[in-house]
Amino acid sequence: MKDILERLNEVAGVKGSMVVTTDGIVVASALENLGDDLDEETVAALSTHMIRSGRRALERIGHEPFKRVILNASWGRMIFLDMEIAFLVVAATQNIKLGSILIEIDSAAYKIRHRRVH
Amino acid sequence: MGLFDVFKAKKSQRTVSIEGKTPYQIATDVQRLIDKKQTSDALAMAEQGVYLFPRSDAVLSTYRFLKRETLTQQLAELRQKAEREPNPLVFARLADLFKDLGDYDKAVDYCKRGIEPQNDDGTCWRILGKIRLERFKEDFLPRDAILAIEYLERSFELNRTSYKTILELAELYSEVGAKRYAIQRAEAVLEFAPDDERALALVRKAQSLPDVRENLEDLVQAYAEKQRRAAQRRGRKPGETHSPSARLAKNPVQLRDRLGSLRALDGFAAAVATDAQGVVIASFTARELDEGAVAEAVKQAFEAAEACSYRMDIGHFRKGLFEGPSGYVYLLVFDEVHIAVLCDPSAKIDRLEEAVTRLVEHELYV
Repeated sequence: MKDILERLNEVAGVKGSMVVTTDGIVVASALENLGDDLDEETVAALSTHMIRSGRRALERIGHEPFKRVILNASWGRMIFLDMEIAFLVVAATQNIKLGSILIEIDSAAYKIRHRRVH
Repeated sequence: MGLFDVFKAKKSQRTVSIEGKTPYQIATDVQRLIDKKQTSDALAMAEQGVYLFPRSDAVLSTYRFLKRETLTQQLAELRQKAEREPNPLVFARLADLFKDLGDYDKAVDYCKRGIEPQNDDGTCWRILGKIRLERFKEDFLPRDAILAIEYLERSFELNRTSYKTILELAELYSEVGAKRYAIQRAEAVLEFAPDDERALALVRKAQSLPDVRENLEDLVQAYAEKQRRAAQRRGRKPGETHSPSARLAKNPVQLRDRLGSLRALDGFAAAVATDAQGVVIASFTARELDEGAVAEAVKQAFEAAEACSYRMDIGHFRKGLFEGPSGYVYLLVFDEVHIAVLCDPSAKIDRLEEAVTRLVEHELYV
């Protein structure tokens, strides 16, 4: 799984990626290119908080759990993709077109899911 | 010159005017000038746009596109050189160039490559400091200014005769009101250049600052808030007393009309605008919705997105999209107004994106 994440990180604009459960358990991660103070536990905790809070928020208005969230901030993006067993979390830059990154993220998620089944 | 003085100085030399234009109109006009090959006018207009609307994606992206166009040749040459003979000097120049292009991730990468443990002259630390300063100028997060100071100080420790670094530090300290630090650094220049006019002027300026208890973090915090408010005021239309977001917050009927511009979207369900505390200012719904529940949900989602963006060190949260079987929830920040657009699964994402961009870059300013 780490290999898949490392290959995903080679895509232009992708800075780091992680597979994390909604309980905050890190399944695999490749976060070497993020800042020094962004270690695995911190990113996992932040991601879990984001996923849980987002889900709770949407439940309030009768929405089913989301499948994907894209956050755009001034200097970067965060993408959360529900893979059913866990979430694929990707940190990306702001300067790259989102479309091409999303295709690569979907492809990585497919490979991760496929690995689990077999 | 202070942090924003460069923009102010350029303002006086401007030949193209953007007065009364919305960010969307500025970006369109810049693109028109690019198409006519009037690059210098386009750049001048884009620079004014960035000064007036530092948080506009439309203006920022056209500005960065233009900068990239003007620096492409230089960038290619330096990259080739970095491949042929990699050394800290080339990496520092590349980092500086990417900083100018607004591609801070690449700039930081090159800085890291240029920092040599054994023979560091502080250049890359200086660029890292400048990157944080640039970020601060667009985002007004105190952490960026604090880190700018930290990196510039680190550069100063490594090279105590770097004129640029010391002056930048002295100017920054002076801007935030840290009198003692500003004087210390300006005097550091005078040690090796006793007659330097900029340093002498900075000492005089710093000496005129009020004596306050100098907790740097508190000073930076106050300075960031001041700059943020100043940037909001710059986005006002001529003759207006309020920033666009403050004007809309005070005029729910007008804001509701603006939100209503989204009703033509396929799958549109509702648009809700709240203040930063989650209190509903205005809403426009195409079908019955529990406004209170939507407001609570929006508040919770915004809080989570903002916390995530801040802790991930990617600056202020600007917009976000939640996608699921029940449809889409699009969140966007317009200064101090939070807007959520809810759509059914039948909505087309690209149309939604386009309509929301037009809303936030144009309609809300009109």
